[in-house]
Amino acid sequence: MKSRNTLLLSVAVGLLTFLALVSPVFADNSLAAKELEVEKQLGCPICTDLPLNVCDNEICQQMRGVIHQKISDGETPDQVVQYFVQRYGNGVLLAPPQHGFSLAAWYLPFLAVALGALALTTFLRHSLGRQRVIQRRLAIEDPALERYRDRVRRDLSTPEESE
Amino acid sequence: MADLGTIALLIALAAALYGILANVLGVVRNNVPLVRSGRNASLAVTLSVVVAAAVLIYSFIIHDYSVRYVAEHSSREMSLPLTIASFYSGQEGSLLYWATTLSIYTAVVVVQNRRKNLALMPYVTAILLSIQSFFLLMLNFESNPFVRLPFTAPDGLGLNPLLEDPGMLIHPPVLLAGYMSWSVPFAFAISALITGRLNTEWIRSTRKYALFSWTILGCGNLLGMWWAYHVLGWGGYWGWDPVENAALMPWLTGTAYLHSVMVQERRGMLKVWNLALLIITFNLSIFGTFIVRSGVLSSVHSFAESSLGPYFFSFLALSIVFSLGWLFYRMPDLRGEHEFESAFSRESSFLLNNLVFLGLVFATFWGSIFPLVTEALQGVKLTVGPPFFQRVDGPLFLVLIALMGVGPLLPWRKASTATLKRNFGVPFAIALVATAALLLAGIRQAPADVALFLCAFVTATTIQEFVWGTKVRMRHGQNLFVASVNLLASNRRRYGGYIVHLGMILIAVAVVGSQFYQLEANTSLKPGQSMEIGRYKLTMGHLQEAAFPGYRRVWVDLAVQRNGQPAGTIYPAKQFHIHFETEPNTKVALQSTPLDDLYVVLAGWQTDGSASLFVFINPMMMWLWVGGLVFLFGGLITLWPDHEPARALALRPGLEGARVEIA
Repeated sequence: MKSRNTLLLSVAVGLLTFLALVSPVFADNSLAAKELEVEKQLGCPICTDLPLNVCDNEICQQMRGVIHQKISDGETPDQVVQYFVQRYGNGVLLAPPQHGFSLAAWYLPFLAVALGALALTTFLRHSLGRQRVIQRRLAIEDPALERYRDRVRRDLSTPEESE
Repeated sequence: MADLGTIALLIALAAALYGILANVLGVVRNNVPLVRSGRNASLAVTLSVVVAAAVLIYSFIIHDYSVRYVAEHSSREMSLPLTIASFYSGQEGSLLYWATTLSIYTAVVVVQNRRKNLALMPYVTAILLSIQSFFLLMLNFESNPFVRLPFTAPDGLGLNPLLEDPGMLIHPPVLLAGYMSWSVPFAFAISALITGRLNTEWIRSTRKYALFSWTILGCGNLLGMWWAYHVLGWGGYWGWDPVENAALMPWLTGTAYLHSVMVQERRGMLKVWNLALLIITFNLSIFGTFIVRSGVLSSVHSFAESSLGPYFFSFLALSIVFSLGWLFYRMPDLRGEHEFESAFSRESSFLLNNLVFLGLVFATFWGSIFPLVTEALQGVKLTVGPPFFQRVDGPLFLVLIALMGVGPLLPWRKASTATLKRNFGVPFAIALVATAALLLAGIRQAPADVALFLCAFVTATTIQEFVWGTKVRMRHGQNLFVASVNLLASNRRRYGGYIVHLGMILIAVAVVGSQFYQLEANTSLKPGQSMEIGRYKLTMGHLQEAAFPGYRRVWVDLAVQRNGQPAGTIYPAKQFHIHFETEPNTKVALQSTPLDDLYVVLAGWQTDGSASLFVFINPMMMWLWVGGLVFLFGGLITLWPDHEPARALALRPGLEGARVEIA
């Protein structure tokens, strides 16, 4: 049973490594994919923050036209996004920019989880420490107690032996 | 007639205030008749609030357009079910709906506990009545649905067309009921703090109530996803909109509570933490109710903006100060009865689970309010939308999935390497093989592969639990069917929980599929032209227009070919409703298969008869809804009433160390 598991495991790990090595990196370099990449980062200026790629009002149609034009002219998706940020400000982005004060938006949650993890490990360590103290106390030999324990053990095991 | 509603609301408020006083004074002075009178007052509140709700529904049914709320939210051509549903479509009505469901739930709790929890119940009743009074205060003095117009309008304004949908009949009431229902576990928790009866009594009494709130709030969220998907027309089901986030947060903290409370039941630890989780969950529910109605944060749900902000903030502040005050006061009595024995144990995996859930809540909360923060500090209103939450919440959800696989296999107290090997070997191997198969099939985006590996692992560990449990029973002579049914019945919370886990995995698979492998195209087609996307080919027929009672409809017919075979015709459309001519309503054309959904939106059209379309292929979407049903099924199993003897047997201390554990 155990050796079968080990065999299965090593075969699977080997297969996985092989596949990971031979898999081509996924990248869709078509123009449409690049346009979509831009559209998904920008929000409709008048709707409730609907992504540009799914908004059907006129402004968004025009903006999609501009994106199409610029991508066709060979600009990178980042350049096109920057173009819109310069014209409309950071409010046009669907997620806060990754610089300045907005970094707080991105990193505070992870910082909070890290602090939480720290608090949790501290709590756990203290609890484990107290548990060790308890165990040590229990382990201290007391002849009188030991006699009782023997008695209890004997009493508990008797019925099964007699069966 | 409407005046009867106003009077009923006033009576309800008076009865609620009296009920609070009678319960508290009665229990402090040990005056049993007074407590009983307070209990009866709570039933009087129920009666009057239900009368008020009935009056409002009746006003809708008879089209009483002298009542402003009725005139603003319904019209004569609406169907009867929708007319009744208009009851909760605006602010006044949804507050009355909250109050009505709370009053009914209060009555249920009071009656169920008429011979139980006698020490806690006066306080529980008083707290529920206090929450009720808050809603009744707003209903009486700020947001009364029975206010009359100076004249009788000939017809009403009708409902926002977005709301004219079967989803309207079920999503808002279920979600609001989910928010409302957390009041009961909260009331028990606070009563335990006030009375100092901090043993597991309150937890045992609220176990089913908490499971009920959690199941119904989860269903409310799922129904919202389903409605958004088939109505809003952006090809997705979750937009990380502030109102959606507000509904997700109490569900997340509630889930954290349901897990960590097991540590308290089992080992007498984490008492403060569990109380804090319930306090947070209840206040997030109030916050959610407030967000959906306030318009503080821009949202697709902002159908009504209101003046209730100060009310809600005062209530939230009061409730937080009051509950945390009691928590701190009782802190010395809330020490754990045991200590952790190992960092690798069931209880420590629950700790980690709680950390991640709370991390998710924090990230979601922070993202939702960040626009307000930048506006206040820098004067710029930023948007925090899907790209943010996908990157911040996404990895945390992955950790949760991993924990779903690991947690249930760790024994309580202490895990040995032997148990770890025995419990994890097979599932781990199965997951590796499954992932290899996916890589071979061309699923090669790293995050998707990691997520699907974890999904396979969780599925395998969960099924292994069922198989082991069933085998033990079969060894005692039961056949497969009897053994598996008995297994479910023997420990409903544990195995119902596992079923919920399987539902979550189905949902995760659908999310991964639609998130990483969605195809989309914006195209313009002339009659007769076709387009290809994935395994589909769409051929445009004609652009058509017709008038129907209450609205005008523009649509196209598209012939669908799937894998080269004809697969019917779909009709994406836009509808222009009277009173709402400038906001055309999208009618999504949807074809669902187990592998993927074809989702087409008519975005616009030109005079030459060509139509512009948004076309989406959403892989695995069907499994999101199937997963939702599995979730509901698991939830119902946990809720099914226990037979006392079975429970007693399952809780027998002799089974502590064995594999047959209470999860």
